[in-house]
Amino acid sequence: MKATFSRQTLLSGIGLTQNIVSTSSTLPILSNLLFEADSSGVNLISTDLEGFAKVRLEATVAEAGRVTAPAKTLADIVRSLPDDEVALTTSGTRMTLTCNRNVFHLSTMTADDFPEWPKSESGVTITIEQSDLRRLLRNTLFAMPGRDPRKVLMGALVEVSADRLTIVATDGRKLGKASTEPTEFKGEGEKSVIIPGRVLTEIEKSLGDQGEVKLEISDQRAVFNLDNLKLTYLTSLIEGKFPQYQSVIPETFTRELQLPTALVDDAITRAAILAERKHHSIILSFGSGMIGVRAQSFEDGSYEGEVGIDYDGEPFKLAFNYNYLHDVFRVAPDATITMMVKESTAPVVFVCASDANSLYLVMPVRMHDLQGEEAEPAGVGAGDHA
Amino acid sequence: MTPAIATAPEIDPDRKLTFDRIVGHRTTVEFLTQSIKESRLPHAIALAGPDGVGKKTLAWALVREIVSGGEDSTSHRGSAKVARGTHPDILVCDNSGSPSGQIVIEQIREADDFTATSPLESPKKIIFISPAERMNPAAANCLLKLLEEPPRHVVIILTCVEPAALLPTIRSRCAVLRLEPVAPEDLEAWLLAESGEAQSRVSLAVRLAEGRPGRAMAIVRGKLLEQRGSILREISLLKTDGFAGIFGVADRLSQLDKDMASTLSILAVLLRDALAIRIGAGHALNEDLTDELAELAAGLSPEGMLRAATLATEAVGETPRYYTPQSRAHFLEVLVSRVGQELRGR
Repeated sequence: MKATFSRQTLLSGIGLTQNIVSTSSTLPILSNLLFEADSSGVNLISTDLEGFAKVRLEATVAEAGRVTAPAKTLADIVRSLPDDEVALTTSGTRMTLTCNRNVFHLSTMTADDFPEWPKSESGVTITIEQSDLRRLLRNTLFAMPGRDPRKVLMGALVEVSADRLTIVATDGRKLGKASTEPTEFKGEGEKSVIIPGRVLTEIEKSLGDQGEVKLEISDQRAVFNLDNLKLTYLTSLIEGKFPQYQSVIPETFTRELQLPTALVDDAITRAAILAERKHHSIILSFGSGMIGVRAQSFEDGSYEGEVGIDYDGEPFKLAFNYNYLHDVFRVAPDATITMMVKESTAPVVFVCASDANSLYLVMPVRMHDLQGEEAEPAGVGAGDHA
Repeated sequence: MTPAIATAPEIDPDRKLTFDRIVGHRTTVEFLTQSIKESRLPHAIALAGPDGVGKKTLAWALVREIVSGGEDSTSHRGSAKVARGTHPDILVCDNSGSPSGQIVIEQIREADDFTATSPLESPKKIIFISPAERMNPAAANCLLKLLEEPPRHVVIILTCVEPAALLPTIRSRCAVLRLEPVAPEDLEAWLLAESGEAQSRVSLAVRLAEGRPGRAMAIVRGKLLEQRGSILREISLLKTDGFAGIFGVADRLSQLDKDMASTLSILAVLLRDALAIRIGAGHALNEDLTDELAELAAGLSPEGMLRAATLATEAVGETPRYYTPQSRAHFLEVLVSRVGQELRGR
């Protein structure tokens, strides 16, 4: 294989693919990138077995061929090179990168051992704006657990129909749901699949303000085509049944409050310092014109703070794991966030006015689980203010 | 100067064969071939049998057959990838890199994660656990969860010497296939072709290997056949030296071959031969050593020799339990001491 790239093209291609690699010792080739040169350009491919990334690079190809080389080393090399043309040649099991007067020789592994790009299957195809998909992922992926034995939770539920794309993620304590309308839909019926979160996180990073994404979903795979970047992601699907999330979202509420996002988040940050250790919980007391934010760690001390809000209903209290609230406030796009409460033990829903198609949900900590706190009655307050 | 870089992965000898080249085990191979053909392969298969009988070789041939999806596994691209150890749909849990010699829960958790998504190139994802009896309790319980709700796109293959060493709950969820010893004529024909060694040497190895192709190959390729004289001399020392000689004999025996089971199986056969000569019953397997064996047997009680031979035979089966150098050394010292006691008459 002989191909010449601009350094910038090669660097951005490596940047787009190098995070979908695996350092697993069982298959060392997964830490490599695959170059596939044909007469008109070069495909750069990576995989961690769960997902694949492929980017088409502009290149002058003198000799077609396929080769793999370590992603991290390639990234380090190309980053270090001057801004000039980079020539890539292979000979036997060796790859040579030449730029200006710099020559690198690299060990390679045979491209035949690189996992094959899975065959395409028929399914449904939708087209959406990249910015829309980015918003959907931002509003949901925060709710995914870092690790969970329930494998279905390690992915996001993606539901596609002719007029709706909905993404949901949850760890059982918090949930994010967001939806949008596709600009185009091809295929028949509806699809509901679970896409691994790790791949979605990488896709989210590549999405920009411009351009569209074509999403093809079949029974075993999902393919994201970002045409403007000549970038394709393919991911396997997680097998299993996603929890019935609709039943968790309350249909009616007894309280609806407008909270200043940044001020409340700041108070939560302070309270977190002395939060109770077992549940990481802090207590929010809602009273006339203010929220009291309180934390008490029996080992370390306590904190009390107040944030002014527009509220004149009956006072009530809720306890939360501060991490979950942080996660929601971090992704909320508006300066004001609406909190909707049914009762102290029911999930609390947050929405933002600028994005009626997204909602965040957090399970409160039960008061009687906290030392020194009296159990609240089931209802948050009298009357129906929803 | 540019470095020469070798990058092609070496082929693991256990993965070299496809079903058509497996020696013996015809019933098992036919059962598995038919099951794959009729898409009714059990989701978990435990291949059981003594060391060297061919569990891993057969298991890898099965893996190659599964990934070939009904096509010819001798030429299938996926099958070749299995042989090279680069197939993306195979996950191996073994104890090769484990200081404790155990398969630990992290490995089984990784296997569990591995099952979350559908296979990429093969009809099934395959988890290969060997030796399965080396799973520690936490790992075994973790595997049990996977076996209780097996994803439909996954096959789990285990190998073990003795199924009884597995949790009963694991055993009951696997199709247990016992591998019987290979018939001597099949083994001899195979060993002659595969090893390229002389007929006499091959015949001797077959007689010593008890129907186990792996053991036969180890014997024919190793130095143990030449070292039978040394082993005999060590046994003779036990007749005379008593306790004083135990540590020296055990130490020298341990250095003969890295596979302790091979050394012990030869020790057992030599003791059996000496007994046969002593009581005038049949031929010695080690015909070439008849004189030396007769010399050893002189003055020994047949009952003591029988007990010593039995001890050595049982010890062969025990060897997989001792996988650290210290425990192996201790095991050998105790064995040598007991064999010596029996020979001298307790």
